[in-house]
Amino acid sequence: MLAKTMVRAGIPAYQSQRRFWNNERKETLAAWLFLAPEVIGVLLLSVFPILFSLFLSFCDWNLVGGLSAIKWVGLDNYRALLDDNKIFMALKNNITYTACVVPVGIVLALLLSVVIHSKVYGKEYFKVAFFIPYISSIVAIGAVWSALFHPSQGPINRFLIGLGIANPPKWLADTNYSLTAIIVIAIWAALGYQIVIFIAGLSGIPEELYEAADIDGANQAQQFARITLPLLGPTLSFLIITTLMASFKVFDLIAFLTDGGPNESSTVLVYRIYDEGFHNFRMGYASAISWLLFLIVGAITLITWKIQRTKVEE
Amino acid sequence: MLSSILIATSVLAGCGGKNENNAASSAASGTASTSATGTASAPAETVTIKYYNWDNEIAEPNTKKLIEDFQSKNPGIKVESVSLVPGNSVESMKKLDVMMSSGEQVDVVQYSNIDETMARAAQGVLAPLNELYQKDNVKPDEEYYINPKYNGNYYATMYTATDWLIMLNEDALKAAGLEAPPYDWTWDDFRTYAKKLTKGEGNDKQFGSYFHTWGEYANPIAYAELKNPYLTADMQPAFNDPSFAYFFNLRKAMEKEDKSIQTYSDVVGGKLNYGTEFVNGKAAMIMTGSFLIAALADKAKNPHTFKTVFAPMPRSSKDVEPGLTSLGASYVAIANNSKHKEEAYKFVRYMSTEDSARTDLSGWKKTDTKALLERLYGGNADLIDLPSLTAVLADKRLRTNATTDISASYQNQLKKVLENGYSSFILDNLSVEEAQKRMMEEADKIIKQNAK
Repeated sequence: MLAKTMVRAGIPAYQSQRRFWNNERKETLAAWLFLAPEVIGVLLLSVFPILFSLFLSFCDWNLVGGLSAIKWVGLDNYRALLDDNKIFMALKNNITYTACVVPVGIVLALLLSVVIHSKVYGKEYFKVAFFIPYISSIVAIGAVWSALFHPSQGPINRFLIGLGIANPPKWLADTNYSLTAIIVIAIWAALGYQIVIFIAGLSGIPEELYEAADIDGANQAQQFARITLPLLGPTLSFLIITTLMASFKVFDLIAFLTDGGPNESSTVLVYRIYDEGFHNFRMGYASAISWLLFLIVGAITLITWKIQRTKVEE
Repeated sequence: MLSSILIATSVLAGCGGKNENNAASSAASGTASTSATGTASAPAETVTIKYYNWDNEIAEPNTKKLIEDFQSKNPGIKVESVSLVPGNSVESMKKLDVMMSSGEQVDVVQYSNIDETMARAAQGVLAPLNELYQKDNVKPDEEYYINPKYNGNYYATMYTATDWLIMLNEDALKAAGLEAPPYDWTWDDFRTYAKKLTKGEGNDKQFGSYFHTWGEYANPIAYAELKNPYLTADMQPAFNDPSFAYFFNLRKAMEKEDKSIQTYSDVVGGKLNYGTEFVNGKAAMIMTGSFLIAALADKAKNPHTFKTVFAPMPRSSKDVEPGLTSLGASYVAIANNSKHKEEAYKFVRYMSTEDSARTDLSGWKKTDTKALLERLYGGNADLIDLPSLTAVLADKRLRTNATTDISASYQNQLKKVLENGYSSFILDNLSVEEAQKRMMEEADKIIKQNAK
């Protein structure tokens, strides 16, 4: 109380009490006006669609029927989710995909970037070579890989047949191996980006630490485990979170290479959303799947945040 | 979330479209009023009807010619053609839905296939045509190949037709010493032809035929000879029909024993295209829709040197009367809230029966197909064998068993069941019984889900 009266003491009493547009209000208004474009944009383009899709997930809506065709069905869409083999397949594929792409991709990228970062001839060349897939269009990558994976004429299977394997997997045209093929491509395509981030992290580690370790007689493996890895912690967790989320949202590679097939063997949740929403026109059901996906990605993000925070506190 | 973004954009797009059309219609009414004051003494007032389609720059002049001819024969009616999203039927139809529900003036509409048409008929946005047909003394079943019927009412008129047929490479035929197939050939004959047309090895191998990944290729018999390829009359899945077992096995035998077609895994893995395979001479014979004829005539885009000979779809057995095919079509319909249904009907009837501006086959049974084909492809005698094409398409026996009496809005999902069923049969070596059982179960689930 005392402090407030002291602050007000400088201003004549009639001003601060009578004028509605005092300085504080003016500043608040100005702030809101400046923020308005962004806030309106977010409300209109993010918050509204998100809430609308939540509403739709409790409805039955055929896209072609217009807004008047929206019918409330309660939890029916979510009940149907439990009974849908394709969703189980998609969920299983999503988990397999993530469980392969994230650890394998990151470990591979870490090892490669350590090698590239240490004294290697032509390291600029390697940096560029690994980065090119990341900047290439996914369609171009897909076209090249589908030629490599071609079941009878592709170099990969020619090689396998040359090794004496009579019936090599048919890769993208194989119900058991289509996902494997996509995982291989995905790891390869994301490697460049991860390497660049890792190299940036590695450059931030002071050289003195390694020199000191050398003097103390630490070998390469010890230096890696005791210096490189701990100091790369933030970079590592950044990459883990982003690749985790990205791998749950994988769509473009699958849409281009296999359309989720053959026989739904490489389908994932985002592809199911697309298929149900825009091929089968079941907007309500598609919204229910997208909320399932949202909950999964949200939960994973929260867990990784938690782990990260406890680590930082340590 | 993806879906919600689309909704937002489609709503916005809908609004945008509406504004444009408001402007267009006000302009139209402006000219209408000036013409009305100018010719105040004219006995009948000019009625303007609006025809919505997705004409691109190639189709537009034809529609313009069609409308001009129509207007000169029907002086009291003015037709305004509106192309919503040029060249994109799917987007156009979506936009049209928004416009029709918002009370815009819509009289005549075009739909690109039977499923889209039936969905609108079920929603009640189309006008029943029964009375209009009756007044005009038209018996639709005698006049058009397919008549979309919903609850016993006719809702749309067939405009263009896509006939499924067999195309053969004449050079390959001659090299194999074969005659063009007869009109009444069967699928077993087809297999023999394919076997004889196969030659060479490795990269230069010429395959006898080619089957694409689409449902139509998993069992063409179902599309030509059953009333509905996926459903029986009592709305149960039709996948236990013996034709499925027969054709699955036939294709497997052609792939594994005769080696006269590309393996299914190569078709999927190599992302092959039926048109390219045929034009490049990799496949000597293909089953396809008549839409590919125009592509063959386009020398610049599809350069090839051989002449194409045509044959009808083979029949399933000797007991079936030949001439059955699978027919695709586009339709024109009248909007239910149109204020000028009589005039709209006149236009619909005119465009479905008039050939002078046509670039596709007609859905009208009485069309002079021979003259139409002559006009369309007469100039490409080096590439397209007109006599055999005419013999296939102008034959009076040509018909389809498919009917809209049995149909459902979720047929594209059932088609996917068939495609998945075939791929698990051929890739995972399922027995045909097991594949059929799985398809029945999957289809049953979809039917139950939609019956709710």
